[in-house]
Amino acid sequence: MTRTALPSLGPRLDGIRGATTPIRRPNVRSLATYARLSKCGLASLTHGLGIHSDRLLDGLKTSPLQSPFGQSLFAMTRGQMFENYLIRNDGEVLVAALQRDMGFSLTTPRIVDLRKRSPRNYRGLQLRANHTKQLLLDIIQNRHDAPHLIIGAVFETRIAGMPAFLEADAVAARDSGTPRIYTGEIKSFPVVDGRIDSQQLGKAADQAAVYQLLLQALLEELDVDSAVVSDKAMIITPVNTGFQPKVSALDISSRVRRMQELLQVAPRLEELASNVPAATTFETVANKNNSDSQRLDALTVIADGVGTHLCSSCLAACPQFRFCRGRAHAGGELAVIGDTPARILPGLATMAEVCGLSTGTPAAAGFEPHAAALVAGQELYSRLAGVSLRAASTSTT
Amino acid sequence: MPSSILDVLLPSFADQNGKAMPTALYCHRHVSAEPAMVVPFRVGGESFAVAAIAMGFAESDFGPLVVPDPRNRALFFDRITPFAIRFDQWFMSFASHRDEDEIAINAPQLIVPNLASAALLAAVGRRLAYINAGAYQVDPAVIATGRHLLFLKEQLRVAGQQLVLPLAELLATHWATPQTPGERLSLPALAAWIDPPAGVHGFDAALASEAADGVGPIPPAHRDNEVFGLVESFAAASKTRDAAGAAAAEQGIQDHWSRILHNAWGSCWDALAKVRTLPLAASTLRRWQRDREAYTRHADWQQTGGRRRVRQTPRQAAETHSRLELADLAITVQEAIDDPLRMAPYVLRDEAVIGTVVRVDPDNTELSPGGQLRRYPIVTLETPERCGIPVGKQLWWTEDPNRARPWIVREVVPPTGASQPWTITLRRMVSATKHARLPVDRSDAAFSVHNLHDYLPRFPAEADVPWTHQPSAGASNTSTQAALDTAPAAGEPVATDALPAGFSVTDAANSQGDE
Repeated sequence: MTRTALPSLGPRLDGIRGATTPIRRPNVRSLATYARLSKCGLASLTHGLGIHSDRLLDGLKTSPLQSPFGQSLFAMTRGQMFENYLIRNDGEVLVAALQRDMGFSLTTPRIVDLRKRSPRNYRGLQLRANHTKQLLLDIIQNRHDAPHLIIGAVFETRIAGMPAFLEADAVAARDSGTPRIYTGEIKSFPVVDGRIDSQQLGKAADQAAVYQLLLQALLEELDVDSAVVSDKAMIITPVNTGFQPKVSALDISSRVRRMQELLQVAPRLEELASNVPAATTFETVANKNNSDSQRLDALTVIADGVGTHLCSSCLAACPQFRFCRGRAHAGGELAVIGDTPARILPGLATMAEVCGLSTGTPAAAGFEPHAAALVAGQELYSRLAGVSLRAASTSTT
Repeated sequence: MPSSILDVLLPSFADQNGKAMPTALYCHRHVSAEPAMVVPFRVGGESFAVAAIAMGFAESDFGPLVVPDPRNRALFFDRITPFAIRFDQWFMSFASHRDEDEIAINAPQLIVPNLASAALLAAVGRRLAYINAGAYQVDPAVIATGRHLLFLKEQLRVAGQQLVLPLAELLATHWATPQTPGERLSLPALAAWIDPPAGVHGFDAALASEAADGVGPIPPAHRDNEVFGLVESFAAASKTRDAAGAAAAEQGIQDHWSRILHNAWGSCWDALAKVRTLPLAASTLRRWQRDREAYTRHADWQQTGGRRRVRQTPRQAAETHSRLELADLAITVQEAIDDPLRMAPYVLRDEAVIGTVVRVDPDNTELSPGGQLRRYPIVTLETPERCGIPVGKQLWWTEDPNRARPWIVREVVPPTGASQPWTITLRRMVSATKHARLPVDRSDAAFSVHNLHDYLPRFPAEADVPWTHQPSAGASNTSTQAALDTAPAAGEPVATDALPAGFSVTDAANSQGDE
């Protein structure tokens, strides 16, 4: 994606983003990933500004704070091979799978591959978005030449105030009776003996949920009842060790609702920007010519301004995880343990508080039950393990 | 273990001390004298093939095996053969030495870096066990190894089994660290927290260890991308029969993986050494007996042709399910009974008491429900912990946890003054003989809700299985939907007790002939 492809967001936001910061147009993967981080001010800001956050801390010289992120070329080429296999010869393999697994009759399947028709650039995406809209209208109006399957359908949307084009692998329509439209996601991880990796499936379903939201929004814009969109999404995966596909129609309605809520509550970009100190820019963070400490200090200033939210999802979803973990650890925050403390001991913030209360520091009003439970746990453990936690506590604090 | 305040307390103290805190006084898995370490790696997207693998019986016994292009099936079967021959020989070498009950005296034990590595070996086994003999000529040991790996995959579902030990999960269940559940799956980081270099805080030691490539099974994406070009050139050169070009590329690939494997190898042996610092828990030996039996059945089956049903009958499935459930229950009970630290969460929940015996009355006689005088021994304990166990509650003595011999809490007396103990009196619920084993005065004793029984459910004969157990037609998507329903949704907290006692890689039912 070229630099010019990203539109201006106004001088203030452009200034925070910086002219040379690596950028990435939002895609469905980044959107679904971001949904897991939407409580975090820093993640909301980088996402909204279109910053390529995988590369924000690229090239740190000595600091180990950049988390390794990115996709393996082996995985990417395998995914591409599987997709090509499905859609070659007018999608004969995919059509056969739709007939077998979804009960589509598809006697004379009409397949439109939008990727073949448009140039692979920003202009092409705009064209494909218009084309997708037209094809969907054809389907809803039951026109005789309406497609059954759209490969590479593109939806236009705005993400944190910025236009974005998201490309769905497949959109399919049932060809008999009332129109019924399904979004489809092609994934190359396998279903083995009827079982599938639920983590990967969850990510795929989140991506499908994004498409369903976009599809519903588009139909509303076209003044069509969005009930024609099926609650089920098609996840298309290979079976066992080969490439034969299986189409699983999965009910993702709860994920769609959840995704909608998450994306709605995301803090607004302008609000976040107002908390970034003047003259601070991501450019300082991304610039490889700066020293590690210059770069990390600049990121710290921004993070302090907009706030972060460390939780169990961060490790797998955010390239700035180690940076945030380091900050949380320096502050002794309980968040470094994950989500358990907030559940068991709501209201306590630091590990020092936990150790202190457990060894007799008087509790603040309202925290007496926490303190009693911690003292009981501490005394029991000390006795059974034959080590005195109290001694450990007094010697180091 | 149930979730308790210790889940927050111990990580907090670990952070304060700069070092992990033990959550067990004993090692709750049997560790053989000479287990086999197997460290497999794969490239992204290839779920059924290893790109590099090391197997050995000591840290010095390091011989990496590299498959230059794991995407090439025939090449994979060919290059994996030396590993398969060695694995099959080792695995079957335990089968011929039997005890008087015809059970193998010892069984092979496989150590792997983590559950994901075990899952990769299971997937490789899935592929090797069902190689299409018409299309590929392979050594019989390759297919045999595939079947061993499938057996181990099934074994992994049994809670507390000890034929396969994933190191990361083993460390994570024996030490508490101030890390998120996901971070605790990283063996090097976890090991660094457990045993940081002198003067270094565990956090910094863990951070430093994360800079390396880890123990697999998938290396960081940038490592894949470094070797991708070489693999492509190897594939191209092989296609055009450019032997020199292929050899040059292969050398590069070999060097790439050897470096990664070598680091992982060292980390795994270090971790095993840490596990070995703990004494073995009492029940591990009893479970090792079960493991030997399971191994013996597999070995016998293997020697008589190695065929088995592709899909279990409803009755078999019900039996398997019941066996797994019982194992699940037994491991919780055994660990709590074996180890005071594993009992601690139950004490905090008022489901157990650990104290000192201050009075034993073996000859207490009372009227039985039938109206006769019988001997009902009484034991009194003192404990410093607050005791909220209600009077009338049934508990079992950990030294004799037979379900048929519960004790009844008769009296709980709070302390009379500062630093005085709680006093708990229990009476045996069923009458005892003169020779019944009882706690000894002035010894430590524990009573808890945990008990064991030899109950085995009975299932109807195959012909009498009720119709409700027939699979319904058209239910093909149900398992995938079920997988989705258990996957964490965006923004939802990740399950914190994410370490299942048993582990299911994939289903038992295998369909044949994909290759």
